[in-house]
Amino acid sequence: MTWLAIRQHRVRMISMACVVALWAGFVAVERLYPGVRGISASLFPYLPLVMAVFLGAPLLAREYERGTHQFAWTQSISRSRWLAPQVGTAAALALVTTGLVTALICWSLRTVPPELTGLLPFTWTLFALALGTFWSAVTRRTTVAMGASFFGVAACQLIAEGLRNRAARELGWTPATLGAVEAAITAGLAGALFAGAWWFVTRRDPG
Amino acid sequence: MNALELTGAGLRYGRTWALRGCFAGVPQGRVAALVGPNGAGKSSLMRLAVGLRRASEGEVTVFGRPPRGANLPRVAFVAQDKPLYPELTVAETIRAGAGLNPNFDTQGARKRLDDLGIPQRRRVRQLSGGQRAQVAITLAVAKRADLIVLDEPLANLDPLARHEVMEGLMSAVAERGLTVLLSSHVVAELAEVCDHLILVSRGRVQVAGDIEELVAAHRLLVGPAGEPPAGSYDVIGRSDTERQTTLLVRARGPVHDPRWTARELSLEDMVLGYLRAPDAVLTPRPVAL
Repeated sequence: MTWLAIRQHRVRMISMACVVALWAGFVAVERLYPGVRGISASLFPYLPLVMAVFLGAPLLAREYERGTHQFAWTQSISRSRWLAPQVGTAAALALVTTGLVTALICWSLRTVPPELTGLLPFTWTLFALALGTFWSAVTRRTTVAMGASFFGVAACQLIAEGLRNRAARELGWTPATLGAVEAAITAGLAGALFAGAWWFVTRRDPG
Repeated sequence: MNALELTGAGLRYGRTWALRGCFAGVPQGRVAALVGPNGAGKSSLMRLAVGLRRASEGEVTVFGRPPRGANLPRVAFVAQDKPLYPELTVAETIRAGAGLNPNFDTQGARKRLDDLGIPQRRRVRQLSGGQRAQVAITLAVAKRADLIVLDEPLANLDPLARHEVMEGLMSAVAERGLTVLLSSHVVAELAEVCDHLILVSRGRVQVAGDIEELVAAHRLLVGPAGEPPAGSYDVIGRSDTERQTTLLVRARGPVHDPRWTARELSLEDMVLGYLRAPDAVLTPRPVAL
């Protein structure tokens, strides 16, 4: 039921508009004072954290906390058909936000850093959203899911940084190869985590 | 075919069994009361009935099939705290119901809420407890299901709201010929509207059957202290004072003993008698051990 999913995301849409506005502000400052150029890009790694904490973590936990899953899952549609638009709306919102923020940063910078090229910003966003959704399904508590996904994404970013440096140093991978491999890995993990969340909702039967 | 059938059904949360070996059926068109003390397993039984949980043992069927997938449109559920999305308006909640259910009666739902004087532009979180209960029940009725399950529909409502909720529900039942299962730990508030009983205690179905038949079959025997009278009956409960003995019995025939008098029981007294005697079981099928 897409209408309900979109309606439930109204407040989160406003939050994401604020996120975009924040980056627009950074970029505006950078354009006015070229000396500070680079803030918007250096803050970019926080974007996946925002996605995990504010879009992923509440997605299912809020239903459990308010008991509304008992409403949603006793209508005429299966839990999978209920879950798909929920995840779809959150993913669409996250991707649009990421696209706008990335576009703003790229417009502001002359040389675009590797983590902002190609699919990489989008796969990281999906991965963070998936991790938040997964913890949301497992813990069923918004605050716990927020904490778990914040530290989860932060840890994965640090690990990715380490692996990236090692691959460049020891295997001699070019930034393009690195980016492609990283995008594939994060996208794969995102898929696995979404599947895990789906399994928890439909199979583990947490009425 | 019964609207709801439990065949040795049980439900386990981790290592704890909330329900075990339950046998009970609700025939079509009945208004069944699910009664029992707090924590007896009423909500668990309802979760099984509406498919929120899968039975850990045995089988639960609604109109002969498990309450899942294509059978979901046939069951409606109102959970204990009447969960609705608080940020939605009443009108949006109806829209959600219409989107989630193929047979949803949007016109009927709007009309019912108008009749009840519930403003549809108001957000759910701004409604009173009684109004919220009415919205939740209206949505469940508008689903046009054949079995409607309500967990403590009258809890936390003032007497007037209780009356209105019950009246609204019963008019919907009369219109549509629904089968209803509703729970309460207060027997008195169900006695008027229900014609079928499922008594749950300590995670088991203790008594299940037609209320009139059950009440007619039970007697309170009062007589001199000591030996019970001759006759064909099962003793459910017994209390002794110095001078007299009182027996709660399920009679199979008359008691021929002039010193004993047999009295009819109210539903409430019968339920209390069974709750005091947790080992006495009266269900469609004996609990297999």
